[in-house]
Amino acid sequence: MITPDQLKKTLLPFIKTKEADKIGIVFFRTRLQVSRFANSQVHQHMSDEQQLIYFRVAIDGRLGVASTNSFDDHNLNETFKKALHRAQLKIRTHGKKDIPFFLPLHTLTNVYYPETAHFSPRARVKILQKIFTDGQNLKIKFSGNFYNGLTQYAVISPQGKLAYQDYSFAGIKFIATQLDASGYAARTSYDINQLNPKQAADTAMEKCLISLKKINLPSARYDVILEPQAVADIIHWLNYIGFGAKSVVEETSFLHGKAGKRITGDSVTLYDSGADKNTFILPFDFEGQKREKVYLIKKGIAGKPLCDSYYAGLLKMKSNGHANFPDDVDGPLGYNIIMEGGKLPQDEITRSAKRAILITRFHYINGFLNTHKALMTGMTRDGTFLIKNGKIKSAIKDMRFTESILEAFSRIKHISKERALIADHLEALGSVYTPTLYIKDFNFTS
Amino acid sequence: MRRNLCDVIVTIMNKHLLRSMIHTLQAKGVEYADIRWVKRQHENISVFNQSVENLSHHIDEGYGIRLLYNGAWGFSCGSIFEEKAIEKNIKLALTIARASSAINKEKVTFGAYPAVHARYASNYEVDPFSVSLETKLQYLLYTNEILLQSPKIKFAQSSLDFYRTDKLFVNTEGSEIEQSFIESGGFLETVAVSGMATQKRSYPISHHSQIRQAGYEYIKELNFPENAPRVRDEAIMLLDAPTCPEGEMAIITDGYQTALQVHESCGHPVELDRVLGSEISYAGGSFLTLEKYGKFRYGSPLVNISADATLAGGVGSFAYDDEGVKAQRVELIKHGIFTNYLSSRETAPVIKKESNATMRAESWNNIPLVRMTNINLEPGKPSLEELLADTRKGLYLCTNKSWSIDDLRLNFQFGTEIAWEIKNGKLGRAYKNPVYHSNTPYFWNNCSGIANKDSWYVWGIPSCGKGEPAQAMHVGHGVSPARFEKITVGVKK
Repeated sequence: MITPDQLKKTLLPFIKTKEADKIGIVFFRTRLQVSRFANSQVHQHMSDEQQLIYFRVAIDGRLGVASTNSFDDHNLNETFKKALHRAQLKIRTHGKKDIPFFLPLHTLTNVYYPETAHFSPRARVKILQKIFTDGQNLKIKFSGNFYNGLTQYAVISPQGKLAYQDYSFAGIKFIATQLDASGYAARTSYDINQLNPKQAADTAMEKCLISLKKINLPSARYDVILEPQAVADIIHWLNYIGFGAKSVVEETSFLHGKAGKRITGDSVTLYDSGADKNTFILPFDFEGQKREKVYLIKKGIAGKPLCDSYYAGLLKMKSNGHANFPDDVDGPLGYNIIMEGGKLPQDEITRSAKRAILITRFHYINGFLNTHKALMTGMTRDGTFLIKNGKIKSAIKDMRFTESILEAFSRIKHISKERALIADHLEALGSVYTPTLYIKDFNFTS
Repeated sequence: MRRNLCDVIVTIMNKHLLRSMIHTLQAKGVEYADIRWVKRQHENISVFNQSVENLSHHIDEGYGIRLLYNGAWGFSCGSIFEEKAIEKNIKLALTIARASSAINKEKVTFGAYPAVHARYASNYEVDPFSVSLETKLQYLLYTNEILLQSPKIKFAQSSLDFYRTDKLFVNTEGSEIEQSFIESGGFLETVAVSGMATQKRSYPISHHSQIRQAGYEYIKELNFPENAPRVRDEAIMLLDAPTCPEGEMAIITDGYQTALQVHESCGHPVELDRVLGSEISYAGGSFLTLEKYGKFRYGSPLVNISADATLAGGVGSFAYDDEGVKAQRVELIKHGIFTNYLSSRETAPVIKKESNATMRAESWNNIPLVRMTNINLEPGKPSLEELLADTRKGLYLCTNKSWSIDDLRLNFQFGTEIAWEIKNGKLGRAYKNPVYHSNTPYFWNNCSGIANKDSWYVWGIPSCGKGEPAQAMHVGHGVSPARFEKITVGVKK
């Protein structure tokens, strides 16, 4: 691990240069090991260690960014010069960019477990071997991944203050298959000992075995029960098309012009909170600002968008601490989105269903059909079941939905008390904490 | 046209280092090992309205060790070129392979391949990294000025991206391959607003830059200032355009939409590793299962699709893949019949073939996977004008807006930014929010015309996702617009 003191020693000298108005530095490092498997064989097995050092240089309202993955003195110097050169360009454009000052937050604790960060390849495969054997006994093969690692990130302010955070993470994903049936389950945690791989594998196998016989349902509107992964799949897209300030400024977001107005059902509350340990914390953004808790939708009413200092200025707001990586052109986005839970236990929601489709997860959702309505399309996958009179009656062949999520959320009948942390460190940064939802009349188009 | 060969910047030190690492691995008894050193540079300039949204430069450099030990793979990587760090990574890769080997029931077999010594550099005329930032920024600001000329245009974004990749590949078979690539591209998009309604138009593609293996001369070829007025005016027109009619009809997809169609419904399902189940945990499998190989009617007899890693200017082009196999052209669909997969040294023997050189890794810290190179729909006979003139009633769908396909690459739904009515062979009014959906074999079997070489264009997509951890690959598609009959346009409400 690179320590905060090592970061200060190497990077602080750059802050002191007189060639710029302000200099900010962002450091991001991930160390990751992945045992990836298919057909109950570990077919891809790897270790990855990657770090990024970004220099942000501001001169007279112009911002230059350059980055490298090397702590070598020569590379750091060259990278800094590139950022400086970009900030020095004397081309008049509208809008000023800045590197805000900040007061560093204390590093949050109880999120780093050394055993998790350093769990060995041997230890991972030993766990997998047992599960593969269990599957073999039922003629089931497993695909998926089992990973662990650590993330460190830091931001250095123009005053030379360092904000630093680290955390460990682990995740396991199973897709159990037999013939053309499949079932999915996944778990993730700061602590590898909380994953319970056997329980996840058993869930995937159960779903697979039920799915050996599937019926066809015609496209129509059906009540659905969306498990937390399926809800998370939708929330990722809501985030991408609508929660960030850039889409609000562009007027393509469903939040645009709706602040304080009803946009969906009053049971829906979604917020982003960087320090909430129900998610993988990112307590400060990549400008070093505290990631404030921002209500995006509160009891169905449109809230504020997620901002960094630049987009906050355009919207005449204060930054709420959601700056993205310095060279990311998607603008500010949420990385810790939480949906408020309801009152009913999950199994009671299932028992209450006279006729509904239980959906484990979605595949390849696309939210660009109509971003004002959050009109999206996607497929069900790896565990789609018809519930009748509170019990699973049959597995169903996968179906495509095309639905306005804001309208669908206004038809929420139940929200579960229980919520699950959903994250995939192999795909992207960020996590979601979501309940199970019962939604009436969800539109399936093929 | 004057061409400059790209200088291959691979230092003597790197070569000695990688050779030394290979010797160490051989001494440790590996069955096979390769090491890739990669250095990548990426420059982005992005202007939003008349503000500089991003002006960034990124370099990263490192090496990745892939080895086969006792029939199992291990991979480790690093960016510190010091003895201790390298020893640690070699040890780690071996530890990882030993761990898999202890539980895997099947051993990986990996046939021998002759050693290759080669150097390759992609062609370009003007090094984009030598063009001043002022020139690039002025170009984008001028483009945005044109886009913003109407009060109905609230937002304009234009962007340029430039990449340089230098690689050195060495393996235990004695291969030593140096390659260097320069890529350039850009895009612009504009949002027209009226009340609460918005419409977006992009050029030449949406969401990200259209890229080519080329230098700054490609930016001039893209000619943003010439195209910006049309993009602007179409975005405004779409605000008042009627919603696209629904029903079963003929559609002609423009170049970029056809490229994306080929990408999603052909390029991915022919990846042999996907067919064998390697990607079940991420994007899924493929409907082109092994018993269909060589006999399945994928499309109409007009449909010929090939993978060509030798195509000049394609971003999926190279001299040797990331396993040291020579780049080649492979027919995937011939006169509509499914003919070939994209394969690797490990997967090709399953179909009793040799690798057709499609193993590619995003960078030094990724393992190579079977990937698209340039997946091309061969041009047909009629010109685009003749194809349109031959269409009694239908839609001409332009510029992809949304895309979704199932995990076997069968059921898909695509949306485009604009559709033009085709009536009695002529283009008529524009429609907004067009969406169509279909099933891959049905769709391609209903291909009734492909425009000729005059409309054939090589598209470059910078963000094809695959693998865990996720990798984004540059892939190319040479296509012409194509016509498909009896396709369902619209979605059920």
